[in-house]
Amino acid sequence: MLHRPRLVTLAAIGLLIVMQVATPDAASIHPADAASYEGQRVRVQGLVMDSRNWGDGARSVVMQDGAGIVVHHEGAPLDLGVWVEAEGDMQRTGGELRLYGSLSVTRPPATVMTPLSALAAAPEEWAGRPVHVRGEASRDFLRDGPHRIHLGDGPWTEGWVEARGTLGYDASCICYRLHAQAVWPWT
Amino acid sequence: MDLMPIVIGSAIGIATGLLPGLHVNTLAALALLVGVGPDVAIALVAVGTVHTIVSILPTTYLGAPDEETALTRLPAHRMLHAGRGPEAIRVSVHASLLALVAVVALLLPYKWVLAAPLAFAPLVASWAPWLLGAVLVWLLVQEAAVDHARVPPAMMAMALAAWLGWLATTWPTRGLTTVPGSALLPLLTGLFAAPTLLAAASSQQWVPQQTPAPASLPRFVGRDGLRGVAAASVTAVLPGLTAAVATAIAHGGRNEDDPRPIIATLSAVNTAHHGFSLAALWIIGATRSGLADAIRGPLAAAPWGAGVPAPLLQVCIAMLAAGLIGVLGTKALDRPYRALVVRAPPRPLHLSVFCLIAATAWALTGPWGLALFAAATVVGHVPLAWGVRRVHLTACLIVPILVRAAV
Repeated sequence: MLHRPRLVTLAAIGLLIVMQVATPDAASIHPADAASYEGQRVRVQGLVMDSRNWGDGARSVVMQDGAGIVVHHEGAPLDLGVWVEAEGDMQRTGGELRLYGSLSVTRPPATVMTPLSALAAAPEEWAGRPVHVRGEASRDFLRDGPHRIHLGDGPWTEGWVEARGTLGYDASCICYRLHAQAVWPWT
Repeated sequence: MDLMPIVIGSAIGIATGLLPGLHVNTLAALALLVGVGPDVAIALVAVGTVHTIVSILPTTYLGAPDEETALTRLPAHRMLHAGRGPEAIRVSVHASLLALVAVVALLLPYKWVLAAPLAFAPLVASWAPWLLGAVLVWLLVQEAAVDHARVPPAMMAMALAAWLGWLATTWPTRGLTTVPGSALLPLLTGLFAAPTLLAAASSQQWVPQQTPAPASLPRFVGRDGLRGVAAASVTAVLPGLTAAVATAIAHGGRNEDDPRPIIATLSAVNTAHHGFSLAALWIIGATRSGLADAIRGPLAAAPWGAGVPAPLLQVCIAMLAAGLIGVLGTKALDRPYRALVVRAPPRPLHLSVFCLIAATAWALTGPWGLALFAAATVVGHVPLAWGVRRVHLTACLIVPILVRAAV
């Protein structure tokens, strides 16, 4: 093979063309699996938990099922609690894996009907996952018997309600809040 | 300070150093999965240090192609074919040990240059794309200095490697194990190790009888070892530069007949790069390798303030102690390793090593990784076939960085 440099070169070009054609779209991954995709182009969906100006663009934390990833992207910071899809390159900076790419608001996956007690017992396990819950909204909490969860953003109304939303960590109260996309009376 | 982690880490480093295709970063990723404490972190430092020294044994004794590829042969392989493999080993281990001592001795000035008061690190980072681009141009200029006819094939090798390197960033590489696999493993072993192994297997040339290394050490080991240390101080902060490129830069493109100075520089670059990249954790707060990333948390790597951080001192002691073990281990293992390789029939020997690194790539990066390895093996044959230097293949790392910086 080494006696035929042109043949070797043509074989290499042919293989690269095949690889180029066979290259899949960016893999859709869960934030918890980020370490397995270091250096690769990936897509991640999740809830925006934090978003602020950073350099020429913004830096947002996207969370799904309790696992999060920092995304550096162009444009202005996003509203908290929106469901987004990030696509970009997974790079390690300062020991931390971050995604450098773009963010776009997208339709959240189907919600999971869950008792409030489950949310209150292990909020970190539900963070970033769209949920559908029932409870009594009063003052700053959604309650169901002895269980309660802090209210976040959303069209909350006092009384027994059903809500569709997502749990997110709030550093200011060191607690999880339920950000609601929709709230309606439970009759 | 407990010496047991250093001893255990050194023993593991000897094992990984002897096995082609197994990288320290893979072990670091494995350690991260099982949890890393301070003792394991120190053991990992020892693994990495010893690995850079012991790996000269397979580098020298395995994958040496025949005379037809003389132009592209590695310096250690040139010495092996001249029956001077043991001398290459001796030069290498002493250059590595010198590099370790120099790294520890130069840590404070290195910190002054990169961090306060001179603070060149941000400047280097902002100029990195330009510097890397200049390196590619300079490699071609070096090739033109030998023969203008070599420039087009060199550019072809660069372009193909760059294309492959870019594809590697988009290919899903999930292994059969839970150890996070990097696409760099199949990419680099495919480009650099596999082609020479296959060439050696097809040539069926037996390793000639080797003569023992002379007792005295040439003076240039110190000079060229320090050149390597200087080059490694740059590669430790500039991404995408391999030891081969750093060595080419350190030798200023001269075409030297004696391969020993190049071996001294290359070995010193490898070992010093390991030391400086660990120190970078405390100096600029950056992780420059998978190993550095694994020890960052357990050793509480915080910015270097007024005094030398205690964990960094531990790392320095571990590197020096492990370096000594690595040198003694390499010298002790040289004869049995050589005897094994000299007696082994070339084709089965090199094909079995090739299968070992292919299996490692498959286990750690899955079927996509194995396909990447196969393609890299073919691309890695291009410079061998055209008779140009394989250092051009480092475009697989440099060009993706340039593209990312540009977009």
